[in-house]
Amino acid sequence: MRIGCAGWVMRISKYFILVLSAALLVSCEKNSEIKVYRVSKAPLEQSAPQQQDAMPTNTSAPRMPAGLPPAAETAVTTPANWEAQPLSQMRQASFLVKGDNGAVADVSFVSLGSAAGNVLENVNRWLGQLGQPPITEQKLGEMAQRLQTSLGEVTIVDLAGLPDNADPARDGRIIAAMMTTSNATLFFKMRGNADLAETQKGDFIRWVAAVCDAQTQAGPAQIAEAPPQTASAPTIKWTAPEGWTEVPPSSMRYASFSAPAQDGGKIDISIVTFPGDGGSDADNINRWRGQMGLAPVDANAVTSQVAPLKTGDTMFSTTDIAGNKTRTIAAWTRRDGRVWFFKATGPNAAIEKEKSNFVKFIESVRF
Amino acid sequence: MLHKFVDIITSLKLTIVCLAAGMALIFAGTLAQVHLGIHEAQQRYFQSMFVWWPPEGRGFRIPIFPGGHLIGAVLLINLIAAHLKRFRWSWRKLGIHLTHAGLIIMLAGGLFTDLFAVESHMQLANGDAKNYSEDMRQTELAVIDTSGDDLDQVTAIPDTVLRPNRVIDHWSLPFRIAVRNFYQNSRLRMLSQAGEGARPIANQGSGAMIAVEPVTRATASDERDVPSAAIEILPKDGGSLGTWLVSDSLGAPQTFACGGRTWMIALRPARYYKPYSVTLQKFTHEKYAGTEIPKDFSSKVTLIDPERSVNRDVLIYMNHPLRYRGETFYQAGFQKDDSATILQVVHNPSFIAPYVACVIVAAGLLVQFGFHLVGFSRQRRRAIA
Amino acid sequence: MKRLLPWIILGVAAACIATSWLPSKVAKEDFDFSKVGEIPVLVGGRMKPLDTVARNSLLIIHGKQELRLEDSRRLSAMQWLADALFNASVADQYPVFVVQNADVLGLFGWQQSDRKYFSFAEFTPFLKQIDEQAAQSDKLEAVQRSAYQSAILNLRNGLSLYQRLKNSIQPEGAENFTAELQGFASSVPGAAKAARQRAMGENFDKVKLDDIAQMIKRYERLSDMAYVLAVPPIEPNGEWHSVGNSLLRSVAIGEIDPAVIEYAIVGDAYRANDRPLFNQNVEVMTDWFSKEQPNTMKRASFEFLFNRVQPFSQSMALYVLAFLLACASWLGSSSILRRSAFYVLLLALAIHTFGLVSRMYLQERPPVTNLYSSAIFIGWGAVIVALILERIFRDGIGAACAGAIGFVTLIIAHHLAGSGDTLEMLQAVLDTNIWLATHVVAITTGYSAMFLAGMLAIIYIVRGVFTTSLKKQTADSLARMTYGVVCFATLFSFVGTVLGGIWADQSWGRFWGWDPKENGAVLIVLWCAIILHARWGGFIRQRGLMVMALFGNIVTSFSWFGVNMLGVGLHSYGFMQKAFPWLVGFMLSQLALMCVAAMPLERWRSFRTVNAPARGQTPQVSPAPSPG
Repeated sequence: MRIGCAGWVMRISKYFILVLSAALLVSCEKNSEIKVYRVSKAPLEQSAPQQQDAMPTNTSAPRMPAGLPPAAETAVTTPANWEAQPLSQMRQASFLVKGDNGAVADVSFVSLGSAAGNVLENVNRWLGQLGQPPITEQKLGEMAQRLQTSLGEVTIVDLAGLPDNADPARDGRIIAAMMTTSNATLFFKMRGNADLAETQKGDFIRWVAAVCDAQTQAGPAQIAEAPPQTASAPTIKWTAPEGWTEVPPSSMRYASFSAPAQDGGKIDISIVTFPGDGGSDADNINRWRGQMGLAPVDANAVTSQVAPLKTGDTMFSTTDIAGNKTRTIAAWTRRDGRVWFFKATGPNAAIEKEKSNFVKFIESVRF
Repeated sequence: MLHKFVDIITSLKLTIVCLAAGMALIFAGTLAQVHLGIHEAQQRYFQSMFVWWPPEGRGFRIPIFPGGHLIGAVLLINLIAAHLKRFRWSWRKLGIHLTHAGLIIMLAGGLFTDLFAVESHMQLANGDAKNYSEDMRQTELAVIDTSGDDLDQVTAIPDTVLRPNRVIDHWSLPFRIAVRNFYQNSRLRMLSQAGEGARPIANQGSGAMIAVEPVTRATASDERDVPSAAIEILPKDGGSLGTWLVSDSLGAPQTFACGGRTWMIALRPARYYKPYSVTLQKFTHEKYAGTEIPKDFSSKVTLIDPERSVNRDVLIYMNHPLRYRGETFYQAGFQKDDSATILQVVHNPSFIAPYVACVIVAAGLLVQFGFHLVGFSRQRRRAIA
Repeated sequence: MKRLLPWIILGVAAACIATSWLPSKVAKEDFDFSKVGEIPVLVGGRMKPLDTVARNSLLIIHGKQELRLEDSRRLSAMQWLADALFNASVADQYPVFVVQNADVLGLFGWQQSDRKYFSFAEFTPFLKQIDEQAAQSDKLEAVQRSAYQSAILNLRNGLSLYQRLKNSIQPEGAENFTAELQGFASSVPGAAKAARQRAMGENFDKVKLDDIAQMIKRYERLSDMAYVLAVPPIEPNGEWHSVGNSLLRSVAIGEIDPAVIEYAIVGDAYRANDRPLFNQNVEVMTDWFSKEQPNTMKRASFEFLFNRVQPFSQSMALYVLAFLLACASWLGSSSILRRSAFYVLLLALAIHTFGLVSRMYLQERPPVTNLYSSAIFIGWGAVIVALILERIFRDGIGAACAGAIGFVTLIIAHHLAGSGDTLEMLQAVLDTNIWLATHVVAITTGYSAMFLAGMLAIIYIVRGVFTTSLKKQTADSLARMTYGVVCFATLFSFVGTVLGGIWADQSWGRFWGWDPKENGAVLIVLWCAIILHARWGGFIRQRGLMVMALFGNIVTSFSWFGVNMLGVGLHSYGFMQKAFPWLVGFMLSQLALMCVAAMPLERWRSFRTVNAPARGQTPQVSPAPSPG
């Protein structure tokens, strides 16, 4: 009996010592083995998920993704009161705007790999940084603005909020723009004192447009100046029909009008202009269809939707899109390296009434 | 003979001897930390089988005292064996059994941690993003094939392999690496500023203009060794690409071409790459008003993991680490001017063992001493009555 | 009569204590130093009354909380501080700075003599030199400095602290600060306007700005040097500012903070010896605090009371008394003296507890946060356990232990208080109440128990070897007490050590780092384990238990103090060089006693006369409980 017990103990101790020594040996080995692995060259994304399948890397000299020449940024004029800041690893442009009483706003442009997260995720992240609750896709659709550039459509959001313990001189508002191209996602962000951001909003949006436009030009600056829209866009004249009140234009619009509709509704008329060709007709028509909640149409079908309109000055293309409740009529023309969009949106019946006025308005435009 | 061995291995005397030896070892190791530094003393006294004399160097060494691992192992065996031999279930012994079971778990857990835990640091300046952490103690010679379009291939050679007159021949490299010189701790100076007679140990790259001076190992807890080595690159199809200096303090990697590919070499802290990245948004260092006494440090980081679609902000601060995918990130320190935060990254699969063990042993002690107390008070009452 | 004696002794002791609790009478014609001592300020990140600042500063500089002048006048700390704050020219003459090192004296060309206190005025020509020498010493680690270097560094720190105090409330040497402030106040609006105009690029009045510039420079210096932040925040959770900083801010705000003006009036009144005006305005200030920040004022008043009462000194005296009574009870009239000792101990414990709880209230932390508070807690814990033993066994042993340990730990604490504010704010990593309350308290309780076991062993050995009073019953009781206390110590030391490991794991991911303090704690646990295993295995009996418990004293004192002196590791706080000889002396004394106890049992006086055991036979003791 005793022998059996002791033998059992012996065996266990033996195995135990074996296991122990093996473990110790293994641990010694682990320190001296040579490892081989692969590491991706692309710089780490700072604020969005990555798509590489190999392990990401952080090379010591950050390299910008191909396709966006660095020259682009030097070709863009920036507002005078934006102080250039040293670039951090991720930023391709960085500015600091100073206002009264120590108010500051930080402006940055970051370019990342494509598929860098969708707009809603990033907007909710920015909202989180402002201490605000996240929003839904629908709310996003309502609050986001869209800006057409030669690179594509840019989504602009204006977020406000002050998280706890934040300094109101430096925080309280994020105005951000985001767009995705085939090989890159561009983020433009202005974050700072709420009032200061408000005053800079116009400049910011113009700058965003300028940078995007500049991106389409490869190589040294052919776009020496990407002029802010309103500042050096040529002035055009028109005669506004009766009943149309001119409304102060937003920073994206060249001009803006409002006309009353019955039942207290409103017709919104806008004039917008960009350098370049502003996208194809199909793009624009589908964009407007999207704004009205309609499904896009085939590019071929689009041609049937466009009707020409000749005025004394120039030739316009027009379209008439009727949705369930709202209707959009638009006219556009391209001249002198710019595109001009004239658009009226409102309730179906109201647009019907104003259509003739709209046509007269278009005919009155002189470049 | 067998009986004798079994008797010894299960005896209480052995337990006491081991405990006493442990005390002596811990006392000696603690005093040794004053001039060796915590890490070195730990290696020599507690994480070894024996304490050797003389401690360093090749040649004849004799063990003069059992080391921490040996004492721990013998205690563990003694504990398990004694229990197996004399195991007799009784409620009165419940406390003892619990206590010893908990101790076994703790010792085993400690052993596992010693073997398998990995500690490293991640230093981030504001806005930095990193997906690797660095070992504070080990360096590696990184040989990187940069000819790929989108992927670099890294061959990481730990510094324990770099010993003078060693030749490293690895399948991933079209050349052999011959180690001509290796200094565990060194100081680098430009030749023009070094004294008379200083010679470089390399003849290629930036090392050709640098003099290397070996210095004694660092012992203070906030100092690190700066290892340097001179390596000669010998392409497998003949010739030599010269001797290059690699050092932790060189900063930038050096480049050469071999076999139609471009290679970079650098001696850097050993890196542990992770499939996710950590970006520092902001580091805050609060002090008590009107003083320099630190009140709190915190790092706001963004954790981005594409594999698991994680993209969130986390606040890491004292006593509140970030636990993610088996690794834990602690707020460990910061650069002097608050420009960068230092996170300690720990991978310790057996971290739960001490918690479990503590509860079990505490319960066992309470039960055991509770029995004694009850017995004692009953005795007193009988005595008084 | 005899039965009442314990109560009488208690009553006398209580009466002696009570006098210090009553507020001292302030003569109408005198400066009301107690009122001004209650004014709250912020120093070192903690809100405290000026009285605390005074006591701590004087303690750091002078080594005492009271100043004795050559004409045998005695100044309280608050009186000295008032002179330093408001009347620098007078304070400069007070001999407060301690210099004893001959090399330091030689630096100034002075010879060593009986004098060890010097005034600031005497050092004025040498300030730059002292600064340079101290900068050299600063570069070295504390353990590497020579005696001269430590001394010059201490002197520099003391001088620096003094200068900062002088420039905390008013610029040193300001004559009529109220008038100066009024001038400043009238120029501020004009200057602010000019500054705004300049910022906007408009024409501005340069003269106005220049006037202010001079004063601003002066107040910038005031702001840089301030040690005391005296200007309270307007909002409840706002920030305290120094007077200088507040004046600089008032340029932007447009008006001077009323607290600054009050301090100016008080200072001017003090200098002019205008006692009624001084007292009046001090009262205005305390009233403002009571109204606007009642919590702050309450705490400051309480701390003032705490300072005055000095509970730990009082309980120290009571512990000595109790110890003597308990020892006397072994010689004769045992029951009466024993009960007296017990009652006196209860009073001492009550005051000790009051002190401990007050500290917790003032610091808003669990009881043990630094070395000083650990000493207080060790004494408190040991006294409680010893009193329980006394209640059970009723033989004066518990009482003697309580008295001895209480006294020794409070003396140690007293000497640990010399580095400044014992209620200091905690470093970031310690800023967690849970672990402070569990790990630190458990470990400290373990220390208490170990020291108590050691004390019991001392009593056993001393009484056994040198007297005949160690009867069998007493010896048995002692053995049982010691064994029980060792078990208690094992439990708390083990749990405390592991909790410390868990805290480390939560804080920096490493459960065990072989830090010296951690090693010290595990040494205690191991030693307790050895004692218990040896007893269960029958390897030791009564005497062996006592000898091992004595060694436990050595292990515990190494763990508590010794590891801090190594200068290594995370727990290396507290400048401990002065204590080193005492620690070594204590350890040697325990070793000596262990050797004495190792004498053959027949030679022990108690065992020689009572039993006459044959060789090799140990006196019979109660059978040990079954091993395990």
